[in-house]
Amino acid sequence: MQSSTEPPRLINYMKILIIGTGQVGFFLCERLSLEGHEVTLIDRDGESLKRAEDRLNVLGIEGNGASAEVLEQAGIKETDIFIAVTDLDEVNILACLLAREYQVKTLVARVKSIEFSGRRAVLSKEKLGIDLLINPEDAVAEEIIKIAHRSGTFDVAEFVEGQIQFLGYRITAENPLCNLTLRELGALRGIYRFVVTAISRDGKTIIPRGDDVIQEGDRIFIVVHQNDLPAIQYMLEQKEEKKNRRRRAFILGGGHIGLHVAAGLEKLGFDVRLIDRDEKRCEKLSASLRRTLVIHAEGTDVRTLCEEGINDADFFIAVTENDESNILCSLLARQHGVRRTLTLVNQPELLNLAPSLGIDACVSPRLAAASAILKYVRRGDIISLAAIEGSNAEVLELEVKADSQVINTPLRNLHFPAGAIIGAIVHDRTYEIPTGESRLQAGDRVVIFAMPEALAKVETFFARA
Amino acid sequence: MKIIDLLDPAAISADLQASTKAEVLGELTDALMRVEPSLDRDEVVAILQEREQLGSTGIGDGVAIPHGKLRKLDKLLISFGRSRGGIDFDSMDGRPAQLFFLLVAPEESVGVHLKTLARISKLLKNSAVRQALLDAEDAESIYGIIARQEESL
Repeated sequence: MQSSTEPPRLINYMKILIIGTGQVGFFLCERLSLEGHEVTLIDRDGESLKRAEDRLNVLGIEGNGASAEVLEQAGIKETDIFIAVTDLDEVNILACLLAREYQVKTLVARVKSIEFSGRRAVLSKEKLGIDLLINPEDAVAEEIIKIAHRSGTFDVAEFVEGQIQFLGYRITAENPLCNLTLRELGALRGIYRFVVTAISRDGKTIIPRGDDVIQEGDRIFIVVHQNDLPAIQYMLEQKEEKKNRRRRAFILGGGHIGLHVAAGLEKLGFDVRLIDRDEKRCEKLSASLRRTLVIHAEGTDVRTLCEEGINDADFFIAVTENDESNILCSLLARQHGVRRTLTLVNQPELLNLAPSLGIDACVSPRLAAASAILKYVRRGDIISLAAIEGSNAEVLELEVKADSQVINTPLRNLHFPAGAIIGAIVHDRTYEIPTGESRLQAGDRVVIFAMPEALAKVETFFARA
Repeated sequence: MKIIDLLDPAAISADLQASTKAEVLGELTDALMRVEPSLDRDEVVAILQEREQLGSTGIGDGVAIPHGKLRKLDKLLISFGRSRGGIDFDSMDGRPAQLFFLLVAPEESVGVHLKTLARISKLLKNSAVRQALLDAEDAESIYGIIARQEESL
């Protein structure tokens, strides 16, 4: 359906073809059409197609995405980006191979069960000629490992080759930042250099100003340079976190994700305990994990969990296939003293509910895969992009082009769009936290937090003179 | 919490003798111990050095605010020191540091610690305040300057 008010047109306007209206497809459609790209959706199921057409500004075509005829009808010849995210690996790969024949520039496929990375993989994206193969389970496992690694955070994204980190912190009454004003944090910048780009409170996300106070229960999103992170972590570290002790993580669910997370945390030096209810699977897991202690038990078996030391554990990571048991077992573990809970949630409705229950971080394979794809397909001036869970806001990285209109003018004299904030400016070798006096130079990389409505304005801001 | 309520005049050293970063941390700890003799000097210096290793607390313009967290402490402790010659403190602007505030906070009240750090940073951002502290005759007049200037923060 064509709406009467056209969304603002992007500088790097693209024609995008998406196959599959599952959760990932729908999410990508929503984001990319909101940003003003021309999105066409193909699905075999007319009903889910209609649902997407009704709610989003996209054109839907009913049919098989792996058929040349349907692809031509959807305008494959003019397509810049082709994204195949149906539930079937074979369809996604075949559709991409077809699209390749039409010289589509960028090809993305979701692949769940075909091995395409690692030593045992027979197929690879190079062999297939597909630019990005994304496995949602791997994407979410990587995200969990990252969050556990950066203790205390619930949301993590990296920019400028990892130099700039975007981190979300949940503010408890004991958190040192609790009750501090943004102005006080500004005064601390000589010692602790970071920017609070946003605060989520009572379901609303705001970009804070000087008089705003960080309160208990807030989720704050900060931008920080990796060199400044150790000092900040030292400051934020709470009393009970003893140093020089191996961090302990319990993982519930020994499926693909559980195994991936266990292996990743082992490498990071965690003391890992993996719980699964299936005895056969436990034996398999024991064989493939060297240092992890595999426990055959139910996630609700409190006595066993206590015996294995849940009360002194740093993380409880619930990654079974069942959202409800993930949430319940996380709450149970929390009650028995685990410091942080990380919970896998598939259903979008539950994803928004879980934080209010006291779960520290919810991760979703859908969101993880979708943000990985978004990050990849965003071309042009945007180098990198991460979606912020539960807020629709995004963090993006831009490179200032030589012909940009903003070059060499102090920021205070430019009208930076409302609803967005610059978190960091990276020059060639140095970086700065922006002030009114900051001037952007060609080649600078800029990390920006933006509410959805400000995204297109941010791009216009950096446009050519 | 105001700086002046936390800073005992006896913990001000108007003429630091130290010439290195390690020495000045020790000398500022000594100033602290004039007020709080029960402190373990080695322990305090060790936590300060540990913090410095994560990134210098030399904030530029000749100012450094070394700080750390200590277990079994019942309140935030502050000392002040001034070095006439200046000491290399690995500051961001590369300049030697002359004005030092040392803070040691109980582990469980890092929040108060940060608020005080913010107040001190703000106070010393003012170049007139820095100059007055550098020109002050002795510890007593340094204390007077801090008290007066904090009023107008």
